[in-house]
Amino acid sequence: MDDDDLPGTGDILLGVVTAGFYSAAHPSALNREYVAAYQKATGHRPNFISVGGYY
Amino acid sequence: MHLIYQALQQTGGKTDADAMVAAMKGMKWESPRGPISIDPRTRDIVQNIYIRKVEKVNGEPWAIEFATFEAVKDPLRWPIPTSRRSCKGRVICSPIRCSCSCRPDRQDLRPTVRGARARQIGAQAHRSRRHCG
Repeated sequence: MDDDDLPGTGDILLGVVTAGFYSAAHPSALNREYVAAYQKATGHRPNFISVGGYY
Repeated sequence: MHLIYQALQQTGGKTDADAMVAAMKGMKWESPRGPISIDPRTRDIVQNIYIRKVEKVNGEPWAIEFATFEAVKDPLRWPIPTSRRSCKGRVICSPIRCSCSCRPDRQDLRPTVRGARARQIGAQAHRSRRHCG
C-alpha cells in the first residue's frame, strides 16, 4: 500500500505486514524532514516512488 | 535526482555517459529511506528492505518498520554463469547464492539473466547437488 493512500484506508489494514524499501514512518531525522517538506508542498505523504525518484 | 546531482559534482559538470557512470559506481549516501549505495559491479542499487506492520499513530495508519534486511542486492542482477564450462567447472546452486566470476574483466557489462531462464538455471544446478561458495 502506497503511503499516500494509507490514511484513506481507515482501520481495514491495521496489522497487515508488508516488505519494502521505504515507509514514510522511517524513524530518521532526514526522513522526518523529507516527509514534512513533501507534505507541505503536495498535501499528502510521500510514497516509495517519490523517494526513489528524488533521493 | 540526488545521484545525478552528485555525479555531476564529481565530473565537474561533464555529462558524457562514461564519466557519469564511473562517478556513480560505488556512490553511497543517506536517503530518507535509509543508507543506500550503487553496486559498482552491477550498477544497481543496494538498499535495506524493511518489514513493516500497519499501526495507528496519532489517529492515522502508518507502516511501522519492525525488522530490517540490510544492504539487499537484487539477486537476479548478479552475474549468472550459463554453463558449467564457462564457470571454471563449478556449478551454481541457485541464482541467489552464486557469486562466481567467469569474466571478471567484463563483469559489469555481462547480460543478466532474469525470470524463467534464471529459475531454470537455478533448478538445473540445484539438481546436480554441487554447490559453489
